Amino acid sequence: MKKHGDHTRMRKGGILHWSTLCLLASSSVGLISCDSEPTYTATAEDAKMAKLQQSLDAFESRKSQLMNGLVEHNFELEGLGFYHAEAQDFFPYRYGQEKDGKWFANGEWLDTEPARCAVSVSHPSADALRKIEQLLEREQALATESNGQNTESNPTATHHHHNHGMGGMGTMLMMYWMLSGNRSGYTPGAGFRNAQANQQGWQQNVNQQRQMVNAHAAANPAYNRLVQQSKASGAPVTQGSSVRGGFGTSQSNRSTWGS
Amino acid sequence: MNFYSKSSPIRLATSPVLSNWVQRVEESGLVWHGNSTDAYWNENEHIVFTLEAAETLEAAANELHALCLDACEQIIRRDLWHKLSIPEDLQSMIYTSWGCQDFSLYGRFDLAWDGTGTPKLLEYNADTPTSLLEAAVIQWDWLKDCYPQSDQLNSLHEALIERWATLPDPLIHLACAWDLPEDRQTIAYLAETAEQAGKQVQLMDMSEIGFSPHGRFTDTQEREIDRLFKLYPWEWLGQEPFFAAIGQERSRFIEPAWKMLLSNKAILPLLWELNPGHPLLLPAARTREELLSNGTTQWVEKPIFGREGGGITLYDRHSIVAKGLGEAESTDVIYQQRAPMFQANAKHFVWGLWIVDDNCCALSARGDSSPITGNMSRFHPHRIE
Repeated sequence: MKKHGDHTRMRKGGILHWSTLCLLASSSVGLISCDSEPTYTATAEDAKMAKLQQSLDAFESRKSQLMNGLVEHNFELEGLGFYHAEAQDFFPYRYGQEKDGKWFANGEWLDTEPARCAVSVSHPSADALRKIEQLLEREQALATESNGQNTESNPTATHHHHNHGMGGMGTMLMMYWMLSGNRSGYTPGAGFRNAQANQQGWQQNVNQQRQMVNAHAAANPAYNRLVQQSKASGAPVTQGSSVRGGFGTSQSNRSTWGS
Repeated sequence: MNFYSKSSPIRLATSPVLSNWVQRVEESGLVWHGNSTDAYWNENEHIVFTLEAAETLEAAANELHALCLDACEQIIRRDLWHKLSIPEDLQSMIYTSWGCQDFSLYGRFDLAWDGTGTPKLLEYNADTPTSLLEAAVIQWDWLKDCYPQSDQLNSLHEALIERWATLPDPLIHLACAWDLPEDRQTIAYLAETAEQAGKQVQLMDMSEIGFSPHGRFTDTQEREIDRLFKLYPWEWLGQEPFFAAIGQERSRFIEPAWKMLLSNKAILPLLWELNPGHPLLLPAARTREELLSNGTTQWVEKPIFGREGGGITLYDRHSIVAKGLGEAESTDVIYQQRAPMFQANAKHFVWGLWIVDDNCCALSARGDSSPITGNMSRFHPHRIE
């Protein structure tokens, strides 16, 4: 009957021995010890979609505020800079940015670090609104030029010198909302009127990008785990080789022990 | 003390508990042994088999394994998928896996036998059998420590090493739900046997498995996985995002996809249908009416997917006798006639017969005050006299 050898089955220092020590150490002194920290990486497409999704999420979360003419403190508008809510204007540096022992706030370099801005959102001043409209006008001209046609007739066309991940149309749409929500604060010009004519097409373009992200997420369920991981850690989804997390979602609290 | 007459082929015997037992079992990896009042690993009682009894169980397991392999062939050849409730998207994978005879490592039959008549098949844990460490190592260490002159039906450790050695791959990945210590130790033990077979090993959590743009599963170091032992049911994998990516990677998975045919309890009525009246099988059916039509008065209702006795209900003339703890993992159920189990000291015993490379190579015993073996059913070592 007996077919086994008489050698000791478990080697001292073998993998089971090591695993046992880890478990015993963990249960007795609360050490995580041998637990490895999973690293999640993504495909290039995942990274691209995650960046776009982040932009779209931020864009949509600001929509209602911007349409009411309110701009968040330190909101970045490429081409104008950062919005300082207390000064109601855009500046080239973030509020509180430090450089060579000085701190930037409300258009000035200070010798001491400024107090946290007491104003979280505000309406831009008339001067700031004029700057926005001028930028909007330039952006529309650039978009028309780069696409060789009017953006209204080609709502999917984009130009990409903005870093919002969703292309220039999202930025133009945000500028339009800022102006639209503050029409009582300044006199709209040609830039605003053109934007008014084009904004529906821009919105369609943004909607299409959202659909693209949704389609990617539906076809790549592990992508959602990557995005969740990114949100939890604060680290962006970066391009790597493997997508992880596509197995192991069913385990619940059950054990296979004794099965 | 013996809880059966000495002439019985099976008996429950008490034995002195050595003071070093905790250290001994922990050093060998059993860290979930319980405590002195509620022990999972139980040394103050053990099962004693006659050589004939152990050989009867061994032979039964070998014959049942052959019946199971034949059933797989019948399912594929006669297109009997509808009898197993296996979703269509899994069928083609199983079909190919069986056709290619994808590598299988091990499995465990659960048999009922009170020492009279013939053993009866309760189920086949073909996909994710656990209690492996206890069966292969812990009870063997106990035998050496407590009854060095006795024998044991147990060459599981050696059989696993030999089986691993037949694989050409130098590196084996082993994955499970990492936060479950018993599962983690089971794959750690399997890794130990693989290492003793000359393999390199890598343990990981199921969620750490990556899928590369090249269509290969990867570990956290971005190494491509050539062989993956997964202590994780196929029916769970089938519902997960990466399942669709398995495709050509199918043959790298251990246990193989074709084991889904056997770990599914709907195999029990099918085995009965293919081998009616077989002495090692219990009458079983997909409907209660069908089972009861042959005069059965005591039966068991089992979900086709389930672990640890979850969802199992025992009936005696339509009255519920016992219910398993835990939940069923499927609404589909099968009905099986109840079998007489070995009982002693107010406990019911199930015999685990371990299959490696198509051969039975070990015997283990679980006992419980409930007739349903569950998560907390005690493991009893055995010896042959």
